[in-house]
Amino acid sequence: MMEASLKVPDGKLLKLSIDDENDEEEVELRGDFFLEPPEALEDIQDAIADVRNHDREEMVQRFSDIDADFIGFDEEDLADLVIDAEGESE
Amino acid sequence: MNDYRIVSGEFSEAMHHAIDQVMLQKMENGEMKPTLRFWHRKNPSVPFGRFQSYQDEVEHGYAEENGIEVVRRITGGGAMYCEPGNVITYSLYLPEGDYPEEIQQSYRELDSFARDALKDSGVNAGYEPLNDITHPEGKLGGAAQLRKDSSLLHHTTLSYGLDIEKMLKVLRIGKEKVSDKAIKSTEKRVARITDHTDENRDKIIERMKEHFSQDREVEEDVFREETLEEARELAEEKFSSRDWNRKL
Repeated sequence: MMEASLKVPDGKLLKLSIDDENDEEEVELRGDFFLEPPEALEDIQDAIADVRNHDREEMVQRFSDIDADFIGFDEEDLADLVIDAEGESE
Repeated sequence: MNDYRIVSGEFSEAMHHAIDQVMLQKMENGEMKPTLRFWHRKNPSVPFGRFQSYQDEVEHGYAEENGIEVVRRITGGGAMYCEPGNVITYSLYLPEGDYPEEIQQSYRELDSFARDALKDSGVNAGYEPLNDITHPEGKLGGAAQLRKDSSLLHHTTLSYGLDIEKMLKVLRIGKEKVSDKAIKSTEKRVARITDHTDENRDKIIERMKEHFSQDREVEEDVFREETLEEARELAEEKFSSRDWNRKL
């Protein structure tokens, strides 16, 4: 289980857990952020699963391709969060 | 120019959130006038953010023992503790064109009638991005929004005379394993309206209605029976269910 949390300066709190112990990798993003539309949470979680081993730039690109408004965080924060979670697991 | 209506009612926490969902959909379908709704509560409760985890936010044992109804909102944002008569909560349901497209600007503008009412009562209320209503001594309350294609729900809760000790017992503030910086931000001091004015809650709500009506055509109205019926069903099936409330 990989976990990380990030309080975005002047923004919201993001918490990420990635459970890769099963075949079906499970990504969970939680926090007091806003997202429009809220259903895009799944798209973000899928994107994290897709690019989590890639470099930062690719992650940021993939997150910014998601058709949603991130409120209280941005694609750079998401990339930092994922990198932080991966670092914790080593 | 639109006509507006104001409705009020006392319901369970689950029912309040169901009414929000039903009335936003009616606004979106063009089946309802733009509406300001004041909430009155039957029991203490914790409404928490759509993307928050129940376990992270709520001290489950304390909530159970004290009959505190915990409900996941359809809006993002953080967890709050509410008590009957000790908070002021309202919802706005508005059609496109009635609110700024830009998100921060809409948060600032949509609560301005409430901040003006508080100022009339002698409470120095201000706005802090993104969604806080503040006092120089701390946070008075917060807002959250959900947008549909052509309508918006904006709801706000203000602490009138909350029991802060109970609040700190039921919310897992600062108990989370997060960075010190994160803890500091969630522990932002709570300010209460009663600490800054002697006016009762009804009087402040009256002032809010007056400010809301200043540049709008407004009538006091009642809930449509079909709205309540739909909401009752949704309160039971969704907002009282483990599936929804504990999905994270």
